Amino acid sequence: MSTNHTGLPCPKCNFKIKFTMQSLLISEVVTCPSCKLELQMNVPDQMKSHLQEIVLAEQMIKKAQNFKG
Amino acid sequence: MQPGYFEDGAQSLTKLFSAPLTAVIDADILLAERIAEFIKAYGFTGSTPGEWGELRMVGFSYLMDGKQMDMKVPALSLIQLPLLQINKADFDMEIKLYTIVEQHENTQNGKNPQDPARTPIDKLSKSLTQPENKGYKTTTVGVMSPNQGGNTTTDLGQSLTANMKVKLDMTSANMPGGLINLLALMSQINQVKEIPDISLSISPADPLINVSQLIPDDEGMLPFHKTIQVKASKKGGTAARKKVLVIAFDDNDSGVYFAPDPDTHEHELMQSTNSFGKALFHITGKIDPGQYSPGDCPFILFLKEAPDMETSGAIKFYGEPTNYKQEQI
Repeated sequence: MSTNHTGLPCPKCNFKIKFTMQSLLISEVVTCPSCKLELQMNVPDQMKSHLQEIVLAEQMIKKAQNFKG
Repeated sequence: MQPGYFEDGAQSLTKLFSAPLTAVIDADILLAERIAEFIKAYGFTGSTPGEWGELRMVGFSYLMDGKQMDMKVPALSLIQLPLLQINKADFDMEIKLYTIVEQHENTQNGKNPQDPARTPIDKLSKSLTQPENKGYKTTTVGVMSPNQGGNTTTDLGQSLTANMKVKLDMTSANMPGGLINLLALMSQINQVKEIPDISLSISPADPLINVSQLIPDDEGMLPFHKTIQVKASKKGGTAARKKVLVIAFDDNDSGVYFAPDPDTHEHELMQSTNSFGKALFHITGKIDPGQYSPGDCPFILFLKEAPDMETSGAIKFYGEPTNYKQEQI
C-alpha cells in the first residue's frame, strides 16, 4: 500500500516523517518524531489550493458516509 | 409506436438490469479520471490541459551542524493520495414483468408491416387467456414498479413512485504499480543542498542617475549607464569566489527601460565574482522623456545557487530631462 512510500525521510535520522493534508495546509514547521529535528516547510500556494479542495472533499465524503436517506 | 403503456417506461429486462450496472462502471471511470486530474494538478506544475510541466516540489529548510540546509521533495511523495474506487454496488428494485405479444401478420388492422402492432397492456391479459394466440411473438418486458404501499392506482402514480435503492460501497483503492514505482523513485530524488552563508553588499549603496545630464539619442530617448559593484563575503569576511550573482529589475511605468540581457532577453544580468569576491554589473537602458517621472527603480540581487538569499536595492533617477524640454519649447 501507499502508506509505505509516502512521507519524508528525516535528513538527520532517516525516520520517515508522515504528513497529513491538514499539516501540509496549515503547518509551517514540521518536527521529526524521532530526533526532534525542526524543518521549516515551504508549500507552494497553488498546491495549497488543491489541498484545500481535497480536504473539503474528504469532509464531504465523511458526511456522506453518515447520511441515512 | 402506439401510445399508451409502451411509452410509460417499459423496457426489455436486459436494459433494465444493465442500466444501473453501466452507470456504476461509468461512475468508477469518472472517479478514476478525476483522481488522475488531481494528481496532475497537485503534483505537477503544468497549468494547461495536456501539459504536465515539472514535478511540484515542497521546500524544507533546517539547520544541521550549524549549517543552513535546503531540501526539495516532490509533493506527490509526501501524502497518501486519495485513491477511491467503488468496491460494491447493491441494487434493490422491484420490477413488474409483462409479456408483450407482437403480431406477425403484415396486414392486421392496416398497420405498417415495418412497425408491428403491439397489444396494449389493458388488452394483454385478455389476449393471453385466449387459446387462439398462435402467430404471435411474445416478448417479456419489465417496468419499474412502486414500493409496496406506494400509489399504485394510476399509471402516472406508478411512474412517479417507481424507485430503485442503490447502495454503493466505496473503498480506498490499491495504488497502481506504476504509481508505486514512481513514488519509490521520487524518494530517491530529494534535492538536498547546503545554503551558503554569504552576505552581499552593493556599492554604491544608493546608485543615482541624474537625468538632466543625459543626452538624447537620434530617437529622442535618453540612454543611461551605471556600474554597480557587488561584493560577496562568507561568514567571517572572507571573499566568496566564483559565485554567480543575478541582478533582476522589475517592470515599471516611470518611463525607464532597462536593456535586457542579450542572451536571455530577460531583465536579469549575471556576473561571477572574481578572486576577491567582487563582481561588476554594467546597467544600461533608455529613458522615454515623454513618460519619465523621477523615482526609484527597484532591483533584487541574489545568488544563482540560492535564489532565496536575496538583497534588494534601487537605482534612483532624479532631475528633469532638460534637453528634451528645450527641444519641445
